[in-house]
Amino acid sequence: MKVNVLFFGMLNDAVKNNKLMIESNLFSDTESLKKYLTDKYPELKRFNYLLAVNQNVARGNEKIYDGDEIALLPPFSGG
Amino acid sequence: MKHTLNKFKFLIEGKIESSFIAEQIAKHSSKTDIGAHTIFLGQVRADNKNGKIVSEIIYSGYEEMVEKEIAQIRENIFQKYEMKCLHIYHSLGSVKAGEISLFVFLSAKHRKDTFSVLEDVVQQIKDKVPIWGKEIFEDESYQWKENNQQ
Repeated sequence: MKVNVLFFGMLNDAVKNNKLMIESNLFSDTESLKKYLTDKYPELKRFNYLLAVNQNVARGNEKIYDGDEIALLPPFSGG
Repeated sequence: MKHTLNKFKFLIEGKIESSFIAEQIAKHSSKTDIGAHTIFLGQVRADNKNGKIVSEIIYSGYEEMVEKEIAQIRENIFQKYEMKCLHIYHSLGSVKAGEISLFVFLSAKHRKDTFSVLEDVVQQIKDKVPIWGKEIFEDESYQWKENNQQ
């Protein structure tokens, strides 16, 4: 499947990118996607972040579908 | 005159001008069922971090999700409390020390509870809105801002 992955805050410094389009069948849910990303970008292991699927924060392991937008969200610092 | 960014209702490019705040106050004078406004302004502080002074913060955000989350906060507040109006504006991009980056404008019939409701709103913004601040120091180095729980 093909998904867009967005990296915010300090994560886009670490990965040196703010948006990637990933096509692979190595993941089908947020846990396996997280593993896929940390294998590809081991620097991610240093950080705390939540995953959002189509702008909703994933609570626990959630299924991902072709065309989904996944965002990696480090702790917020607005306000 | 400051405009919200493109199609976004709650995001402002750069600092929030004091004239914008004044305009919002003026716009509400026709709403004569309102008896109390409580306003919060977040200002960028020239923090001293290990001897380095913050000169500006560059805010970035997951814009579509910011809109969604702020809309949800407004809905939560209107469902929970009897408020007449709630307007929330947050800056994106560069805001220098001394400039305003957050404007929350809450209006009710009476002042009772508006102070604690405003505090609830500001805390929800800090907890739920996907915005990040990059603190730029006077020497042009930077670090990512970390929010405190308070």
